[in-house]
This record gives sequence, C-alpha cells and structure tokens, in this order.
Amino acid sequence: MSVEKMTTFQLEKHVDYIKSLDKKADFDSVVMEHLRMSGAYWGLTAMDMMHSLDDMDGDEIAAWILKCQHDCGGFGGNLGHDPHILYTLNAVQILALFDKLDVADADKIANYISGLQKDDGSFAGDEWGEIDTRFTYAAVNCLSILKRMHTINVQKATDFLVRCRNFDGGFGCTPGGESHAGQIFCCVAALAIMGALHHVDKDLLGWWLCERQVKAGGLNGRPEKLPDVCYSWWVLSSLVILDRAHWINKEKLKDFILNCQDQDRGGISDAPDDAVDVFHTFFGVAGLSLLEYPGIKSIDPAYALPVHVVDRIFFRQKC
Amino acid sequence: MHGRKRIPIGQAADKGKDQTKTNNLKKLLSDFLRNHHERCYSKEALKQNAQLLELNPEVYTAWNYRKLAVRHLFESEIDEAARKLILDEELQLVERALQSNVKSYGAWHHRKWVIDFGLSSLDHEFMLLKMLLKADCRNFHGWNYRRFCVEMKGMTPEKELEYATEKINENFSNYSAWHYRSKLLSPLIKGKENKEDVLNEEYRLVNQAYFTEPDDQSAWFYNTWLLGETKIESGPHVVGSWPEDGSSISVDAQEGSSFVAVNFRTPLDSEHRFESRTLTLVIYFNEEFSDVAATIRSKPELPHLSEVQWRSVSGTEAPSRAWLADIPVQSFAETEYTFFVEVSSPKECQNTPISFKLKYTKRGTSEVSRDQNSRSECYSWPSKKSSSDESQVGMRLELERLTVDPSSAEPGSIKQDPTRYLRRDNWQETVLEEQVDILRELLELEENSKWTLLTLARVLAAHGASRYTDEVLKLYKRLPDIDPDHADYYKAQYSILYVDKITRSPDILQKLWWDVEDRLSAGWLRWNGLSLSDFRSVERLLWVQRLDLSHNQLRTVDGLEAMQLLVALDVSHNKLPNITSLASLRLIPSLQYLNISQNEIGDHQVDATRYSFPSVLTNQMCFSSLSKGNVNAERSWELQAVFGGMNLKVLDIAGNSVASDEIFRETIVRALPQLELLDGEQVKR
Repeated sequence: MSVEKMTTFQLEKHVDYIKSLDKKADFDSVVMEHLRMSGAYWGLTAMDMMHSLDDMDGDEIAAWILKCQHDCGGFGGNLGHDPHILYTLNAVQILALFDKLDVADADKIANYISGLQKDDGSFAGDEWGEIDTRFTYAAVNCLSILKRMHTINVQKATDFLVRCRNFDGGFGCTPGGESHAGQIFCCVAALAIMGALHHVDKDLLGWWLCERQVKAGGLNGRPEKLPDVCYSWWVLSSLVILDRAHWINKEKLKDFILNCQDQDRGGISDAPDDAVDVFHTFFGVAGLSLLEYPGIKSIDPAYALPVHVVDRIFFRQKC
Repeated sequence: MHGRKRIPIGQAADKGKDQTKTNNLKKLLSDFLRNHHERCYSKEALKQNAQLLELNPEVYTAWNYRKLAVRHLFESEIDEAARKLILDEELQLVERALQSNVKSYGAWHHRKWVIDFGLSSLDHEFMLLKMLLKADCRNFHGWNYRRFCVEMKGMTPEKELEYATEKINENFSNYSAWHYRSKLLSPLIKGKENKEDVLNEEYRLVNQAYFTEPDDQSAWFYNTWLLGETKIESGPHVVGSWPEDGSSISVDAQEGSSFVAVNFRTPLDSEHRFESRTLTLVIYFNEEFSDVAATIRSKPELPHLSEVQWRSVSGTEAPSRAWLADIPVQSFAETEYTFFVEVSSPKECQNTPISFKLKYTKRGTSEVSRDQNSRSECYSWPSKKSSSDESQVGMRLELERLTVDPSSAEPGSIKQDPTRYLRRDNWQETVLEEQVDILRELLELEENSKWTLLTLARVLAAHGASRYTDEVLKLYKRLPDIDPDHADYYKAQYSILYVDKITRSPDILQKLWWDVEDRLSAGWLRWNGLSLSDFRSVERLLWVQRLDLSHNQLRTVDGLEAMQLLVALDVSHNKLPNITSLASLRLIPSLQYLNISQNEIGDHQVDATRYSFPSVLTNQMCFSSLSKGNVNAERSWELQAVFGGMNLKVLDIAGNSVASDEIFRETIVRALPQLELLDGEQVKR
C-alpha cells in the first residue's frame, strides 16, 4: 500500500460497500438482523454525507420503515421485532434524511415516546423498563425533530441527566454509572437539544474528553482504554457541542480514521486492519465530517443528521 | 464488530462452515419470531429461544419473549419454590449469554428483571460479580449491576468503600473503582468534620497511586476532584458592579428627549460619557446564580424603586454571574441621590450594599448636543492604526516581567483585596502545601511528567494566593512543549490566568490604555496582540466602552455580554469561526461599532457554537419568530438569530471568506436596520 493511498478517503469504495450491505446474507448480517433499522440509519446517513443518498430508493425504504411500526406508535429494529425507543429514533431520522417526515403520524410516535417517561424524568427503552441515558437522548432527539417536545416533562428529563453527572464532569448510563464517551454524547446532545447545556462543566468535561486521545491519534471511550473509531464520533461530537474540539490533535485523529479504512473493499473498522462494519463506517465518516475533511458533508453534532437535513427540518419556509 | 481481524483478500473464510452456522442462526431466529407472534411458550420453543440467545444475546426481542414466557408460566404456577425454579433457569441462561457477550445490555437487563422478583439469592449474584470484576475490572455493566444488587440488599456505603479500596489496591489503574469511590464519598464529605478525615485518607491513597504508576490517568483525574473539594473558596459575593461601589455619576436629561447623558469617572481616572434611554445597573458575582434578588434604595427616596426587577444578562433561566436592573430615570428630581443596592438572595452574599452617588440635572434642548447625527464614516479602528509590530512585542515582554502586587486595588470593581473573601483554614493550607511538596518531589524523579506539572499548576491555583500566579503561568507555558496534542487546552488556561493577572493591576491596565481624541470621550482598552485564546475576568471591565481585542487567537467572545456599556469592539484578526461565535454580543444593546474583519467566518463547515445560545434547535424559540421576512432562513438563520435586534451602526467583515457572499451581505443589512457603514461603505437601502 502506497503512503499516498493510506492517507486519502476512499469515498467511492465506501459508497459501494454500503450499497452492497443490503444484499448480503452472511453470518454478520444475520447477527445484525434485529437492528436493521439502526444499520439503515448508519448506512444512509453516511451515504448522504458522501453525496450518494440519491443512489438509494427512498420510497421503498420509507415503506419498509412504516411496516416496522407497531400499533403503539413505536418502531421495531426490523419486521417482526418489538418496538423500542432506539429504533423509533432511527426510523424518524431516516424519514428526515429522505424529507419524508410527513408519511409518519407524529402524534402517534410522540405518544409512544412520552409514555416511556418515568416519574423521575428518565426514559425506559420499551415496555420492559430498562432505564438508560441513551433512551433520554433518543426521546429528546426524536421529539424535537417531530416538534413534539411539549409532550414530555423537559425539566424532569434534564434533572435526571444531571443526576447522572460524575466527579469528572462526564455522564453514565444511570445515576452512579461511570462516565463513558457514548453516554456523554447522549447526555450532552440531549441537554443541548433541551437548551440546558449550562448543566455541563465545559472546561472539566472538555479536558476529560480531550484526554481520550491516545498517542497514536485515535480516541478511546474511557481512561486507559484502547482507541476505537466509534469514539471519533462520541467524543468529537461532544467536544464540538462544547466548543472544545480544538483541544485535541485533529490531524492525528484524521490519520487514525483513514488508517482504519479497508482500502480495497471499502468500509471502516474499529481499529487498523480489523474487519469493517457499517457501524464503524458511519462513525468514521461522521468523525471525518466533524474534522472538516474535504468532500464530506457536515453533520450536526447533536441531532446526528447532516446539517442540511437539520436546517431543513427547523428552518424551511412552509408555503 | 470489535477487535476482529480483517480477512486478507483472496483468503476466503471457510464458506461451508460459515454457511452452516448462518443457516442455523437464521432458523433459530425465524422459529423464535414465529413462536413470539403465536405466543407459543412450549418447552421446545423456549429451548430454541435459549439457543438463539446463547449465540446472539443482542436479539432484544428474544429477551422480551422470555419475559412474556415467564409471566405466562407464572399464571399456572403460584407455588414460590416452583416459580423460583423458573427464574433460576432464566438466570442460568443469562450467564451463558454473557459468556458469549459480556457487554450485552439485553442480557444484563433480563437479569435485573428476574432478580427484581425477589426470589433469588443475592449472595450468588455477589459471588458472580466478584468473578466477573476480577476477570474484567473495568466492565461498567458489572459495576452497574453491582450497584443494583447493593441497593437491593441495602448494603452500607462503608462496606462498599472497602470493596473499592480492595479493587484499587489490586490495580491502581482501575478508573471504575476510583469513580465508585467518588460516588460513595460524595455524601460523606458534606459535613466539615468528616470531610477533613475522609479527604486526608483519599490524598494518601492517591499519592500512593501516582508514585506507583505516574503515567496512569486514573489517579490524576481523581486528584482533580479531590482538589475541587479542597479548594480554598469564598462564599457568594459581588466581584464587580457598575456603577462601582463608592463612585459618583451624573445624569443629564434633556427636555423633550427620551435619552439621558451619563457621565462617570473610570477606575483609570478618566471621564467617560454615554447616552442611553435607560440607566442599567450591573452587578457581577463570583459564581453563577439562577435567581438573584436585590433591593435598591435611595436618599432622598424615589418612587417605583421597589418595583425594579433584576434579570440575568442572558435573559434565560440558565444561571448567570451578571445581573441587570433598569432604574426608572423618569421619576428623578433635580438633585443628588445616594443609591444603595443590597443583595437579599443569595442570602449568604457578604459585601453589599453597594453605594454610589447620582447627580441629576435637567437641561434645555439647546444645552445638550445629541450624538444622533454622528459621522460614523469618520470612525476608525485601532487595529488599523496599529502601533508597529515591534512595539507590540516589546509591550508583551514588558507585561510578562511585571508581577502583580496583591495589595493593589482591583480596578473597575469594589475596591478590596481580592483574596479577602477566601475562607482559609489551616487544614486546607496544610493539605495544599503538602500536595505541592509531593508534586515537586515527583518532578525531581521525572521532570517532564505532564500530569505532575498540570496538577502542580492546579494545586497552586487552588491555593488562591497571587504569589503563585507567575509560577502557574510558567507551568502552563511549558506544558504545550511536553504535550503538544493538547496545546490549545494549556494555552486557554494560560490565557485565562494571564487576563486575570493584568486586570488586577491598574498600572498594567493604564499601560494598555489608548486615549483617542474623537467625539466619543472614551479611550480604548487595547488588548491587541496578546495571543489571547480565552479570557474571563470581565467583572473588572464593566466600565469599558471601547475594547480592542484584535490580533489575538479568540474563537468566541462569550462572556463579553456583561460589559453593558460597550460601544465599540474590535475583534479583527482573530480565529472567530462562525457567526454564532458572536452570539453573546446580541445581549449588549449599547454596542454600535463592531469589527470582525480578518477572521475565519465562512471557512468552517462545522459550527461549534450552534448550541451556545437559545434557538429553534435548542427548543427555546419558535420558528415563526425567526422566519418573518426571511426568504432564506435555511441558509441564514444564524445571521437573523445573532444580529437581529442588535443596534450596530458600523460593521466591518472584510477578510472573512463569507464577506464576498452577496446574500450574506444583504441578509446582514436586513437584520441590522440601523447599520450605516458596512466595510466602510455607506449602506444603501
């Protein structure tokens, strides 16, 4: 592999890789069958950032999404699977990507999500009651996109996130849980969407987050852990929301992500020379987008959708 | 997929074996889904489902199915022992599933759901946890589950603290255990008595850790927390105000005009004057509050003063350090008043009332000349008449040599020793000094340890004594060389402290003062070319009307909004990346002249200050309030959000890549109805 090849972004190859996923029927695709909705969100958002969403059939995808919706309003991860807040967010995000939000019944979805809020402000993932700050993010992001924030108790939702804050300025899954970059993204982004970022100690958390960069350039999710491409999104998006992304070495991170590409077959993996998957491909492309890599569309750090999609949702003139 | 190696090209995986595996998993999945939809909970169906979950515990619907099955089985089984057997089976399955993926959220939640019935032995859970956290001491699912079991069993924090200590002694690098300690200790250190004993013990532990593993982050982060708990702090007090305590101002009203002219003397002893419709008082606290109440009294008494409301400068519910109140000038009589401002909430606020004298005069129309027809085209920016580079460098070097005399008065605020309100006691002094000694000792072993240097800087800063300021500055100056990846973090800390230093000394401020002879009486406070990337300390600058921050490295002007007298701001030649980085300026109604030329506005597709102010995106504003008359809101909502409502007369934006965009310029002109000059050219409407 030539040095030059190592350092460029293989846009066409990644596009082809994502396109090929749908037809695959190998072991990995069966393992991921239950979260096809998330897979579609990762792949399609990456496609949009790479200027290739037009290659995908929006009508067909929207029809499939609606088939995954249950009577309660929530969406399952695939046909036949139970409704869950995570896949409900992903379904709404994909519809937003294709500018097809109007095909879904926003009130029905909002009713499902608001029904999952508990007395302490937290959100359950589904009827079985697992509580996690990831679900607060899913609820808040989804309802904001649908312009239905009034259906939940925003103050209580904020209070719950504040209870999950830790000595290092980070956030965990539930009160008492250790800080973890993935949860930090969820909490910081949710607070941003609720206009409550003042609950974050930007300098303290910003410093903890910038210390996620290891010597090799990649980012880890917790102290003394190995770097992984997915944290290029979790850590970097949080740093961008807090306006502290300049506290890391962006060049080194960019090289780390580029080195995790499969130069021949497309796709991005968690670490150099590991097997690629759609999850890390999305997070790699999203990370490069936040690093302003040329030729990749900008992604919004809180809503996790391309900026032009977010601006369309919130600022388009209604005729 | 994590940690699985890429298969080299040409080296195909064992297709046959792979196919059998795939077909098997596929069949288990479709069988299970059929059973789920048919609500079939037979032995055989449950067995198949278990096989599926052992292979792939991530199939969340399969766990849901099992919960339905348990409920179903419970219907026909009321005997507790029999029910326990059903649950035991579930627990065993979870164990097998976790063996294939210990990070499966679904598996862990299923276990909690089962344990919640209260029929299973928690001792068994603790035994399993012990094994799990021995094999992987950082598994946060395990730690979360441990907290769950601790709560169920009603175990004491003291007992758990022993466990955390045991885990840390096994491995100082166990950040999860340090985190757990912070959670267990937080409630215990609320009271002073306990606090000292507890923290002494924690410092002992943490010192041991960084002598053993000096490069491990865990103990250093923990130390930062301990330091925050030890820091010599002061109770709530006012650190700045306008008018300042003990000062005199005069207010001239003009017959038939809603404007008054306000004259005041600055801490640098020059006369300043401005015209305004209101007389706005500013008080600035040492910390943020979300609710402030203060009474304003006057001698002789004035009506309506008791009705005056205080508002935070941001205008939102977010806590703020700067609070404003408008005095009803209309009710004044022609006399001299003494005002007293006394903070009633927060209750512990120590240093009020603030008092100032106000002389009110009413003049006829001919006596006062209004600024209305001011010739803004004659306006010139200090950055354009910049003194030569050489003298700037000279100035900077001179500033660095200056040490601040701690006894000198604070300019622009309540005259006092800044350290007066620090609540020092022996214990804190002793602890911090001990830490300084230990860190210096560590540095002797390894002089370039970034963690030791950074922690030393923080310990010295926590001490709060200005005699350490220069040493801390030196440490922050050295750190970028040792740890270049985080250079901008250290530079920001340096910059903040540096501004803190120069604003404490009237002598230094005087050197940075630039008197100009023009129609505005105020001179410029010139902070150009100081390499500033961040600053706080605005509480000492509340009187400043013209501020030159040009030729620095600023990425935002956040915090300036407290400077409610600011008329002119030059932030040209900085690193402002987006329009939204200027958002705080919309909170300064007096601002008329703004120079943001030669920045990076338009160069960046990432907008990192998009969430720093209330907008539609943050659900703090309706779309309709933005959209009026804005034909292209999708592209330019930021312009409307930031500039809409500002009173700028003069704006310079040249030298930003966005400045050549005609739509951008048109939108700016529309957003700023009072704009007269854009990049030196008369605005045509």
